[in-house]
Amino acid sequence: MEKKLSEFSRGERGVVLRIEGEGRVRRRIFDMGVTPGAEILLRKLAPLGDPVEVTVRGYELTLRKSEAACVTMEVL
Amino acid sequence: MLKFALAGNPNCGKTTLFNALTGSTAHVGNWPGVTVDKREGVYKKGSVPVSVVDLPGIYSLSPYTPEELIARNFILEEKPDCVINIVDATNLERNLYLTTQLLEMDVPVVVALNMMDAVRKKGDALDSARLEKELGVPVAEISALRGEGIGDLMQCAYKAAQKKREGSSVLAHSSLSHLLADVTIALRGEGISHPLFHAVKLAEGDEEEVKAHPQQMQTVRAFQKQCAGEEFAGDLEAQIADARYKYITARFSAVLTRSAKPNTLSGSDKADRVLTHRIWGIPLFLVILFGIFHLTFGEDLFYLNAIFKIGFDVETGNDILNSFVAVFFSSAGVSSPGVILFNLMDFVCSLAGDGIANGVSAAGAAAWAQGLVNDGIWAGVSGVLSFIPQILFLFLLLSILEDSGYMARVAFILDRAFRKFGLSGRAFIPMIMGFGCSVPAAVNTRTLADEKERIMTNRVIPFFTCGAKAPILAAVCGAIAAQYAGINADLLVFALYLFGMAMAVLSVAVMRQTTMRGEVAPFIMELPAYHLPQFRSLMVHLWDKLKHYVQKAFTIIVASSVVIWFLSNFAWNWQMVEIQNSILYDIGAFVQWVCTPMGFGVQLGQFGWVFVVAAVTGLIAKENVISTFYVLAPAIGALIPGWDDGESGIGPVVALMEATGITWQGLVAFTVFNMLTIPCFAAAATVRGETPKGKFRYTVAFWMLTSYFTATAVYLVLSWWWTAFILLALAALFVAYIILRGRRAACRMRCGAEK
Amino acid sequence: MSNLLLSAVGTAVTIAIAVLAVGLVVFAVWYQIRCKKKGKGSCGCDCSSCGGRCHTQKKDKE
Repeated sequence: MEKKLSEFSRGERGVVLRIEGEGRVRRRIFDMGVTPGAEILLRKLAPLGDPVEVTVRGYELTLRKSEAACVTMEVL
Repeated sequence: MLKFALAGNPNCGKTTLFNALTGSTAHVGNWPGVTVDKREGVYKKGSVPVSVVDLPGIYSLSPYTPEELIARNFILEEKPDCVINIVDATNLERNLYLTTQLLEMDVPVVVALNMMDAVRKKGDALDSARLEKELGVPVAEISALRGEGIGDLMQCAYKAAQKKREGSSVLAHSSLSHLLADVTIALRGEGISHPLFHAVKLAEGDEEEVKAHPQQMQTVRAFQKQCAGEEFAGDLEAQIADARYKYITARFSAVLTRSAKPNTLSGSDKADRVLTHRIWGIPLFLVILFGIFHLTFGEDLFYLNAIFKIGFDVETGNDILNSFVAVFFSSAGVSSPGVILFNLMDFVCSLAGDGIANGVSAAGAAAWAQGLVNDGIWAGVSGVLSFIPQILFLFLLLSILEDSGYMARVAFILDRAFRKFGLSGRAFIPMIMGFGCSVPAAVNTRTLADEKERIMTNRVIPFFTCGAKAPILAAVCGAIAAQYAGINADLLVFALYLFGMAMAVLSVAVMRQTTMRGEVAPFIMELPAYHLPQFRSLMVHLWDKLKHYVQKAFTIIVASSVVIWFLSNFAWNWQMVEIQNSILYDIGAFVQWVCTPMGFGVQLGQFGWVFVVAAVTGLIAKENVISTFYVLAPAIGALIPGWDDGESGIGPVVALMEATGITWQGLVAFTVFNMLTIPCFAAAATVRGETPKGKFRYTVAFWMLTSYFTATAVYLVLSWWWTAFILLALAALFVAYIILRGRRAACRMRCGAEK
Repeated sequence: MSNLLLSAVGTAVTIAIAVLAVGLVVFAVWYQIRCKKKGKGSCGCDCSSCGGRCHTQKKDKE
């Protein structure tokens, strides 16, 4: 099932399918290890649900919902 | 001398290694961006001395942030003899992403696998020999924190530096291999060094490269057209990043064997559950912040006295014993550690002051000379010295907060709230640093990628009451609490700190709607694990701050005090006079009226100018505000019947309150003015350095106008509560005007775009 | 005799104090100028908390 990372709930896991967006934000997302094939776990949400904390490649990364929306996932 | 560079991700332990190698005493913070510039040192423990440069922590060599550019240009242009790539073994894949890029340059590389002890503790195993084989460069295991393996690492680096190395890329195994080979050969033919690196960057569409090598760019473009139908549809940047990670996962991940225990919560995770709780996260942060201020400024520790009504009035017959007891508790309650430190230092300073006074008097020095020493030199210096232990204690608490990794978490929690005001949560970090000193806080704004965000943050950093302004708050609130029963000193101090923060947020919100319009910066940030702050680095940090403050006290502050003493005791004809006839009196009375709306102007009678003068001396160093009070208080106090000359601590402020008749509202307004106005020259200069050309003058205007009008508003509202309505109405009009203007501008943009 | 000695000491101390005061002011001013020359943001800056930046960046960016 395809789902955007921004729509994940706490504890959900998935594999990255593709990354939309452009320019700096996209490059930054790549540089931090969020690439097609990477496994991501949504660790927690900040108060008010935004930003989110994810575990990727063994470390914790935080990104906003709007940035996470660029990442399309395959839910595990 | 050989030159080595240290490169690696933020938080990989690079700075710890740098300290171990060079013995320098740099601060080790642990959120992204503390090491924002290269630092140089010399490694002397090897056979030959080596210059070591600590490059900024970076995640990649793309050209999007200043840190990446600094690191990249250093290696390309300054040609270090070896690049030591520190890789955090607990975070292997992402760290190796940078490694693959470093390897594309024509420079010897040695990989230092750091935090191996943490890996073993988790029960994982890492085959570094295999990693060495896969990477093609030497790999040394180290633990920078424990100082293990460093000698061997440097040996490796020496050896590697003896041989030339050609860049190699993991992309040689991807579909881009031919393109890259072609471009590399072409560039090498032109005599360009690091041809492979430039070829890859060209393929990624790096702007600098495109400009420099238009010919090769055409080759790239042709290739891109060929890829149109494929997965990345010619987006080579994405394709390359993807290829790197694929390679890393395929070839390097086998190097690491994870232990059988899956997903047990580490200590860090458990702490995180509580501290970044969805509901309790923010309140908990406020409580912690309040706790810090309470421990520093509180007169009634944990409010024991207020709750349990334990009487603390101790009267022994002995004067000295009384003074000693008064250090630890007063009628208000048990003093907090910060206040105890202040009382102790104050006690020492007044003993010293008495000693000096007796000494010069016994020596028979001229009366004016005695006055100069006691009321000029010593008054100014001791006023500041007595606050130093308390302020250092505040720094200690703030440093613990910063070093533990909690600050990154708070940025995470606050991001959403910050966004409403036009900042990203990332801006929170330099702001909190402002509670210590505005100078490093302003420097830290360099890590904010967005220029507008940087300018706005720099403008409001002084609103976060720094360590030098803290004595003003402490003395004023203490004096108010002493003169007006029922007002709690530390609550007032905390309220003022909060007010400063609120003003910062409000100012940013207004700026976002007016002069600094734009989108909020992105917020993609690593959250490093919590860790207990290192005792040694804390102590080093504190020691540096202590040296800094004492230096300040004995240079600019003592000099200002002497000048003020002179101006207040001499008339224009160079004769020594009473204060009412002095030069300072004339100057002060001249400008006194300006401060009338703020509550410390002409309504204060003939000595009201003290406050203006104190504020002006605060431009040199904020501690001067207090030291000016201390210098002028004896002269003014002598005119008050029954004033005790030996008063110290908040005494001078009380004396001035009585002499000038300033109300607590005026005092609060005065404090607010000092909190928001132009910071000390050092901070102002630093902010200027961080602000683009031509924009700094607006920053200065901003500081002056905001402090003047806010202090006025505070005075008016506190004195006559009904004025709050008038001011709110004015504020509402202003806000409406801004919103309307914003709407019209947005509409114009939309309509303009449609045409 | 002792009176003379006392007043001599007193004068000496007085002069010493005057010299000290002037000296402190001059020293402070010289110290500040020296720091400005080195381009430091704040002098005696504990470079640790500045994150290694003792020298304010020249304005050749943007």
